[in-house]
Amino acid sequence: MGAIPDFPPEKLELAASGDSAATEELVRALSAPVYYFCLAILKNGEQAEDAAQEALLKVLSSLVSFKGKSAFGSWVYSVASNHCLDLARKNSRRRETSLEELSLSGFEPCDGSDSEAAAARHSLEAALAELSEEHRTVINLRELAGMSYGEIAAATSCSEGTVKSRLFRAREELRRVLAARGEKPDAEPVAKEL
Amino acid sequence: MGNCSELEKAYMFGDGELPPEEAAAAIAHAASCPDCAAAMETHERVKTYFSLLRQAARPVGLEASVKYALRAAAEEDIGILWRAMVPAGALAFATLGCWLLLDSWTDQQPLSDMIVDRGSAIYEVIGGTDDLLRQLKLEGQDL
Ligand SMILES: [Zn+2]
Repeated sequence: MGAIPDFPPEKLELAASGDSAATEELVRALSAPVYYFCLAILKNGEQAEDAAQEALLKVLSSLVSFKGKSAFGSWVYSVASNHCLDLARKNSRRRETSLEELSLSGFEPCDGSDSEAAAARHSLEAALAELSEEHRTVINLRELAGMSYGEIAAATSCSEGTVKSRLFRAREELRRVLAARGEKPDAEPVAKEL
Repeated sequence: MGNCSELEKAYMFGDGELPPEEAAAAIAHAASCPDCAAAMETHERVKTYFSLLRQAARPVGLEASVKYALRAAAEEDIGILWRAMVPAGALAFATLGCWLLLDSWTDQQPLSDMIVDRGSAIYEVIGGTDDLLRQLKLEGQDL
């Protein structure tokens, strides 16, 4: 089960023909998944929201070209993926390095507390930040965007097998980094306190 | 990192991607394999973290802004249609006016008279009066 539900073809045809109720239903169902996908790729909340809006408008305006050969969710993610990759390319061309690293502290005001939970969270964020771009992205797509292996495969133009092995290597790399940062691999999980 | 050959299954269990029998086997295996147990724990911790991040970063105004953009685009389409129709209508009226004006300067029967003559023929059939016809003709010449 992916993050985007399957829609009956009649509903998609209605939305493609401009029916406002069907269009609104699609917008309601797609907004969050497309946004979290953009956030997983761009790693910046503000840019992700702008990109998600543009990607959603692209999806709606090109609905007529969806022939149902793949799952609807996979098609939506491939449209959003093309849009995000274009943006990421433009950003790198303009040498925009102002992307704030995706982290909880980037969204929540810092209250100055130094609890064990906050320390564990920072440790995990630091470990995630140490991963390669490829490994960080695949973890983001799975855990933040909540995408199925198949949806990640469609969005990144590779096979499900590749997604599974990449995800496995990324998770093992994360465990290695956490261990290197002084956390025992078999330590008590602190996530429950978060 | 780990050496156990079942590690990938430990992660897939956390992803909810294993069929029930394999999921049960993965839990039973982790009970006696510290490596897989640690992998499952780290995976749980990562999932909890991202679930908090999802809540904190949720797109509050996105749905409304997409609907607003759709409405604006629809209104823009109507605006383009109107903006195209107004000059087209004005051009049509101007062309008709010029045609009638030029027509009245030629030796042929003016078009305005032809229109009134046709009108008078129809009016005679339905029993109209000369006064009304004259009035029509005057209005026609004014064009
Ligand atoms: Zn094991």
